[in-house]
Amino acid sequence: MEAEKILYLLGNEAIAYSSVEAGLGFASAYPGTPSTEIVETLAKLSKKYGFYVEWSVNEKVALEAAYGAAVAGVKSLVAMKHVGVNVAADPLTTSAYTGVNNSFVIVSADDPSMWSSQNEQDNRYYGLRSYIPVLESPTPYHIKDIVLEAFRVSERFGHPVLLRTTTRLSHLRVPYSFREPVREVSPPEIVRDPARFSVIPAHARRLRGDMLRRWSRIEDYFSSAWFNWVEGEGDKLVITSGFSYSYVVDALNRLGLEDVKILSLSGMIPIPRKLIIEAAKDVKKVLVVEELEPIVETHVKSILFDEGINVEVAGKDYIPLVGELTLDSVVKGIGAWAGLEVEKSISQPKIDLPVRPPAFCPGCPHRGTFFSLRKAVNRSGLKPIYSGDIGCYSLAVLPPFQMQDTIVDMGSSIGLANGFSHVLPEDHIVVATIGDSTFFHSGIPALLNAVYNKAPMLVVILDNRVTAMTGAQPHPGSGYNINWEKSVEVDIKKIVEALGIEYVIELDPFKIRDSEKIFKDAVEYVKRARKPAVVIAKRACTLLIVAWARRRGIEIPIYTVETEKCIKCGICYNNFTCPAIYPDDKGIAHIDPALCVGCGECVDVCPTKAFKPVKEWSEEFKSLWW
Amino acid sequence: MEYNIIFAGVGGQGIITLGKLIGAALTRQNVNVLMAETHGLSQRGGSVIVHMRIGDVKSPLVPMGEADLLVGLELIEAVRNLGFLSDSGVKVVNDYIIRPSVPNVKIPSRSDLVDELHRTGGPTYLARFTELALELGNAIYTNVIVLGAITSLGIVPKLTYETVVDIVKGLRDSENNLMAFERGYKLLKEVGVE
Ligand SMILES: Cc1ncc(C[n+]2csc(CCOP(=O)(O)OP(=O)(O)O)c2C)c(N)n1
Ligand code: SF4
Repeated sequence: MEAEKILYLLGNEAIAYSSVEAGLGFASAYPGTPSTEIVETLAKLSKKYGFYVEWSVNEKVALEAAYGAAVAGVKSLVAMKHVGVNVAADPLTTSAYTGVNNSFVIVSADDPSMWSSQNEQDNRYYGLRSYIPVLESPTPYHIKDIVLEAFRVSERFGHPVLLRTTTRLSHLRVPYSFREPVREVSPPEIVRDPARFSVIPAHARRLRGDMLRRWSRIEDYFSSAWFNWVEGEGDKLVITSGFSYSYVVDALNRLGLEDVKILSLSGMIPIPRKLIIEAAKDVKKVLVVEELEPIVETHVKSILFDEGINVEVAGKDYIPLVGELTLDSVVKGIGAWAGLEVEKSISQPKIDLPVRPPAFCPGCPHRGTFFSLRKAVNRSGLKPIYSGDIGCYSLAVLPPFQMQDTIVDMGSSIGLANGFSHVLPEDHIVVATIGDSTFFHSGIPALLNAVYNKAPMLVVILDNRVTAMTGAQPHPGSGYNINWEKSVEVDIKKIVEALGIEYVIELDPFKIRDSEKIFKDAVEYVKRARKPAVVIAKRACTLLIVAWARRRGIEIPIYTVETEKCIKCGICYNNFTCPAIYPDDKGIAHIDPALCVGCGECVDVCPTKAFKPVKEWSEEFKSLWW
Repeated sequence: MEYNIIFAGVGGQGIITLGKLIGAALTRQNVNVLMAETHGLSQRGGSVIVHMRIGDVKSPLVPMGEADLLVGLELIEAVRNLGFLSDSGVKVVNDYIIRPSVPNVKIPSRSDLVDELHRTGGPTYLARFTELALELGNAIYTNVIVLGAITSLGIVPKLTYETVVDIVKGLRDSENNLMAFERGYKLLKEVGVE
């Protein structure tokens, strides 16, 4: 047996490595922060350990694919960010009715504090409302044990398991000891069993009963399993859910509280009723420390009420409902609950600091697209409503662009535009902006709807060849699979034409003047024809191209300013806001050579043509753009 | 033992890589080290901070006022995060300002920022890391030069020259990275405490 190897891994990488140790055979995902690195890491390991991995086009398809693999008897995993579970909720719910023939692990990466999300929904609720058990690691050091357990529970009960992680857990780095898995690969065999897997009403009614019986067996198991435990002694009880255990242990140490026992629930759904009764029956008071919603708290209150155990139970009175937990907030919450004074004074800077919101990267094609689109729309005299979407281009919500009036969920740009375009008067122009990956994910049905119902709108598809926001993953339009091996390259223009759009044209966002003209014509078409038109702004994500250039030792071009030509109009640093361009005290533009990547977009932006290359585009650099 | 570090800077400056290299070096020394990162949206040129906690801890975020070391790759971001620093906390800061990409933004002067740095915590080591990196041919070497500087201070427990060099040798473009590391390792002796 090979010795264990100590690696320093990201939480998500640890989830991936543990899944390999568990004997994974199939993995699928649609990228989404903070889940992306799980399947990205699996892709890197897939050849060596012989299992299948894919980027699917959206979460519903990803979940169905992994579910199918598990029905066929293969250990499978699907990963997504919390809102991805909304997209996949339909098959997810019914998978608990049918169960599976081997492990089926659904990883939900939640995002308390909304570091990169539109909401902070708590997906433990999905477990609760779908009869799917939920496991979450109590510390950074238990990730492997919990992942292995998720696969075991799922296999043992033939039931899906939801492995919950959060931004903190997924994006921390921790020493991890990897043990080479001993893989026995036996070919799967499909057992055709429609009475179980075809949920026509007659079958579903019976399956629901089966599911509830499985659920109560799982609950019994959760009341006795190793991953739910009591530690310490005292007449006060703190109950933790998943990762909140780590904060509680560190907080109790800091506070020096010794008369407190902890009930740590890493498997909190189904709620381990017996364990809770046992732990709470002889204490004076109980505090539930959980991130986000009071799920365990509500259950504890109801269970103890049912049992006639009269003890004070607190939770969200002391622990924040909004945002992620921190050691500071938990120390404060437990301190207040235990009657201790904990205040500390933090030094505040005496000068005003400017905020630094995220912005388009230097050389980002989206900056050029919005710059020329804005000019064309403003000159049309029509009143715009910009129906936005989720991706790097969401950043156009901020000044100077302010061209994302609505952003709701992936695909909502064309979706909401379907409503706007039928109710707004004709002096308006509805502009939907959607990324290429988002178009494949959920834009296609919305655009089909627009064609079918003759919804007048300008749809701009920002085709930067990859799913950029989540770190440049390939998708069906990229022409590469998850391991960047050549695959089919699906042509967006052809799809748009096949959907029945009569006006579709491509442009290069780096060519600002040409783009403005193309947008102008497209706006006029929508106004005249009262039908949808599509413009595809096609230019690869610059961050990715620059990373490739660096990796291959290809020189990156750089531009500079002929300062004597600068008239201090500020267009480049105030209206275009390339991060590489900054004004000096007098308002003259300069380029920071540490940030410039030589895209040359600024050339068309400057009224006096003050920008010129210092290092030109080499043939090699050109060849990287596809 | 518990030792806390905050790394602050702007998305794209290589902060995560810097933390990762230190984490990997300490892991080799069998020191327990947790690091909490910001991924996704804020990496696009926004403020980025990385928390590192060394020792027998379970939760990954450094409490306010408890960082033993603040590493700032950009002046505004270093000042923004001074609240994390303990009374005796050391600062290693890049003398470099990146203007936020916000129209008509007002930024404080360099001297105000530097004064602010001195007002809080312990000693400050201020150096032009990015300028040095550009001299070596590319701004991407900034973080490895900073790594050299941190290592040379000998204040992070068990972060020794030998282990870090070993880790840097494993990087892509290792020759230039080693040069950058050595440059940083000697640097603070030249500039001294400010
Ligand atoms: C349902 C759902 N899944 C995943 C995400 C995470 N996510 C945010 S933007 C995005 C896609 C961005 O790709 P694209 O539309 O091509 O725009 P780009 O970032 O490349 O500009 C993803 C996957 C999400 N917000 N919602
Ligand atoms: S990652 Fe790519 S698409 Fe996103 S802002 Fe940067 S250059 Fe633009």
